[in-house]
Amino acid sequence: MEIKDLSFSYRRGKSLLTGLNLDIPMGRTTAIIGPNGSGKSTLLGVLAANYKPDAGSVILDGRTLAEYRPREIARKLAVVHQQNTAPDDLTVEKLAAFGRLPHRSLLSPEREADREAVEWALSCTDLQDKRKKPLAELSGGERQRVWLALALAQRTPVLFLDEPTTYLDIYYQYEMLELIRRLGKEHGLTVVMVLHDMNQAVHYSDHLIAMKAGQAVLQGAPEEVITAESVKAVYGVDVVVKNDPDTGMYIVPVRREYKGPH
Amino acid sequence: MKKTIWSFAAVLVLLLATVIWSVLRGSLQVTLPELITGLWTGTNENVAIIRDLRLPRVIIALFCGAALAVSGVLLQSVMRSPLADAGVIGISSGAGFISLTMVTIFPAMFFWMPLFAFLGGAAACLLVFSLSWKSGLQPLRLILVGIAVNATFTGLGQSFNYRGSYAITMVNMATTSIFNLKTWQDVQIIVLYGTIGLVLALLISPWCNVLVLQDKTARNLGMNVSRVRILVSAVAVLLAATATAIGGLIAFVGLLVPHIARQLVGSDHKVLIPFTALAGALLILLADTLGRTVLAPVEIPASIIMTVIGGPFLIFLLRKGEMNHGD
Repeated sequence: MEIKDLSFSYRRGKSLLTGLNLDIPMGRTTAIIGPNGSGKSTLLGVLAANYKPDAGSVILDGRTLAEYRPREIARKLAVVHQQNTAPDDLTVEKLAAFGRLPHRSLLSPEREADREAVEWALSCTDLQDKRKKPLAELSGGERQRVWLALALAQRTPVLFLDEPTTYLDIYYQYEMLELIRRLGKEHGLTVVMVLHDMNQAVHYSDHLIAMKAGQAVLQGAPEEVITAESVKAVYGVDVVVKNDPDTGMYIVPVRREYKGPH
Repeated sequence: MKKTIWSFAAVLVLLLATVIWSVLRGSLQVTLPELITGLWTGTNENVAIIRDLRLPRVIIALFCGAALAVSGVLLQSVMRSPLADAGVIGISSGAGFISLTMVTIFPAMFFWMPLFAFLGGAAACLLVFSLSWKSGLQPLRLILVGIAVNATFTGLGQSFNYRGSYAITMVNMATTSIFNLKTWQDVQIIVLYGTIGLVLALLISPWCNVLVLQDKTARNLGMNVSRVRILVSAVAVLLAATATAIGGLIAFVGLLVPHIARQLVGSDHKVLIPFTALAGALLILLADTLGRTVLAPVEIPASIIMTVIGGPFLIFLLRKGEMNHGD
């Protein structure tokens, strides 16, 4: 996936993304990090064709996103949003089955391929036992997995996740990230996720993009682009970056006096 | 699943019983065998009167109830708010006002009344959408704007009251919904447009299931959200407008029935829409029949009964704070 001279603003004059040029490697996992308001979720929204760019283009499989019909895009890329809404009495199975919409007409019956895809998505996310459960009876981690199952049922080569770990406690955070990593590896998916936690981004991505004020300030392999200086430049925080033979690279903020907002 | 089947069975039995009771009871009373043989042979004078006066009323009450209730479900999915109702947010009063104006100016175009009502309802719906849209839908804002639009159209409609005696009877018929003096011609209109609307509603029920998710989710599933929203709204307006053109203004049906229906059969629109149609038909027929039998010969219009039940119910919904489907 290629992003060329991309600019986007919600309203005129207030630019959120300016002149972005990025490369997203196919078949790998890319993490987007950056401070609040840096435009990382907006970038994901533009990549997912939720927002139309003011200028520039996003190229997927040799065509710009604007050239695709909505349904075609939905067969190429699936998105797991940070916050989701669905009726409480909807069952796991039925929600996951929405993932088949891009592949069939709403009014036509389910085909064998649809059933298989839903089945596959439920087994990937370990929800087969819970298939008949309504959403209201699920834990936060399970609920997030159901939305992932919906995206997987779309059987797209590209998967986007907007802060997939935000509302989860640390156990479910790592469960989710491990699951995403495993799925990406096993099925050769192109995964793009917005993450808040730098350590998670470093550990769970092959490629890293750091955003600041609507611009991509870093991109490349995490081990190469993350340094104490670059983190300071992006977040304005002093950190120590260490390499440990057991855990790999990790980043720890250094305590310093608070000098007012940066 | 079991609950769903039982709910359908119960509402069907109640509906059938209410229809029979409603046809038999009133100022003229006949027995069921008398009615059946009378309708068959056409020799019983009482039955003939019932056929000409009461039967149209019963059929119109059924269709009005079904149309308004289903219109409520559709609006709720489009606006993603359980408080949306054609009567509350001004679609019915817009439909009533425009159809009344047009028919007053061109009395010969009576058969086109649902069309005028549709245009009026669509205008009101468009107003509500465009005035409450602020980078997305906000349920409460939408309801507030809707109430304002409703007040405007209701006021415009009522200003006809001051235009002379002829207009008063016209207005009263169309704004307070008395189902009496309905003819088989009215039945033809409501059955035709009502059936079209209800069948369309059933066909688009899978869309409604997707619309209750967020816009971005629906869009990522390849749905053209704006187009679907317009189509579903159009069906909702058609249903509300038809009901208003023939039955007059009845508020709260689209609020009450879908809410109860969701508790009984769940939120899957493929099941919810047919159930709501049946339950809405039952509710309005019940209200109308009670209205004309309890204090006979005085009649309480079904719309007034619905307002009396509906007002407190709206307060109840607001108190429950249930502004969104699910969470």
